[in-house]
Amino acid sequence: MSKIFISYRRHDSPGFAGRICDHVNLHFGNEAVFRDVETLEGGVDFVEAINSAVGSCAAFILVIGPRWLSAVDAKGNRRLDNHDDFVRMELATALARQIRVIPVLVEGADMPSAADLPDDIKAVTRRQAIEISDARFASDMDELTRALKSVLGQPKPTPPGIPSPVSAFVPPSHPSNPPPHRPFAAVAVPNHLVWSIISTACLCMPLGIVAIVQSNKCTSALAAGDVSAAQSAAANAKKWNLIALAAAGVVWFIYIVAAAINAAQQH
Amino acid sequence: MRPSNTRGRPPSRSSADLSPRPLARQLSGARCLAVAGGAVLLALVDPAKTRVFGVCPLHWITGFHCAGCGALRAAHAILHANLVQAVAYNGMALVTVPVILAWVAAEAIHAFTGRRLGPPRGTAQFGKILLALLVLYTVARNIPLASFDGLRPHVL
Repeated sequence: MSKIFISYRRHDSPGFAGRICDHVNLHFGNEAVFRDVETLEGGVDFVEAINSAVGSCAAFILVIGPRWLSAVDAKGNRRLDNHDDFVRMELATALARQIRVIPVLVEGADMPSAADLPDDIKAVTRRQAIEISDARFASDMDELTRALKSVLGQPKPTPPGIPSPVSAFVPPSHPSNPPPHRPFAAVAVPNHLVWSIISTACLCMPLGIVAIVQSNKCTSALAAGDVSAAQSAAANAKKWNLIALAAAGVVWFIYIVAAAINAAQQH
Repeated sequence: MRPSNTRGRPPSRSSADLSPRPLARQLSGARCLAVAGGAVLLALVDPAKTRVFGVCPLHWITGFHCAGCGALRAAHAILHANLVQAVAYNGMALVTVPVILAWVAAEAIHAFTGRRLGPPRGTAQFGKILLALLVLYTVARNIPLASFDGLRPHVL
């Protein structure tokens, strides 16, 4: 279950929200963050979905960019004034359910004043905000991580003496390809490529090939910085690897049964 | 509203390249041990002489030699330092075995130090080339001409 909910405006600060999300994922595990209620499947009651998603979280990160307050919809009405505005609904739900709301100000945005907000989210102005700037991203994120840790009570603090990934890249591990100082993607999403190769070579090639394609997709998406696409491709690769394993297992079982029947008939 | 301590503070250490979860590290260690165990088993048991490793669904049903055909026998040959025989069983093993070794090394580093290494740069291109090779190899080893027999798994 997600422990941290990230709320942001698509038209305001999706890039920053994504970076914050990735960073929080690194600290609290891939399953920790819930975002994008908008990607719900059809037929799902979104009020209920927001309620259960926000309600199950221990902390609520509210990403506020320069256009968070003033964003308007196609008709020119301010989005925050609309009762169906996702951001407002998420925030109002979090405040009503007394979930720890941490406003995060990005791209130089200011904390809105209570007078500019509808009644059901005015209370957010009384929450301590954290400012995250591009130039000081790593140290600003540490501030947020500390705040989250105080809510979630985990994880353990970093052991001292390990260099920051911002200043030092991790040395490469590929023994057949060891040029020095090659950077790696900052976020670790397992692409399951080796598993896919093993599935292809030892279990069932057609299904393993599909898994390799998904692993490649994961790697490319990660290189392009699209972590959520990388995660879904990785999940697909895993799925096809499991299907290959199941297919091989079923055929192996049938083979053994067939061999046993053969042997019994020859007796 | 803004905290005063976000300004004028030296940048503190970040742990973005560390996996904070001990369970993840133990899992990496377990994967290394699993591969090592599999290698020992493959070194001791010759897949050419037994069916304990199962049968290939594709080969059993269709008779095709896919790009993975002979991979276990090739791995057995590599573990006995017989690279020529390994290529005779499955030439792709020369490409995939180093990748698996690299992955085991990365997992071992994660298990021991907590450093989680991402895929090296070039992995995306490597994946595409690997796919193309697998498809070409599959086509080539199924061409029913005697001159292509050398590409099908065979004992030297």
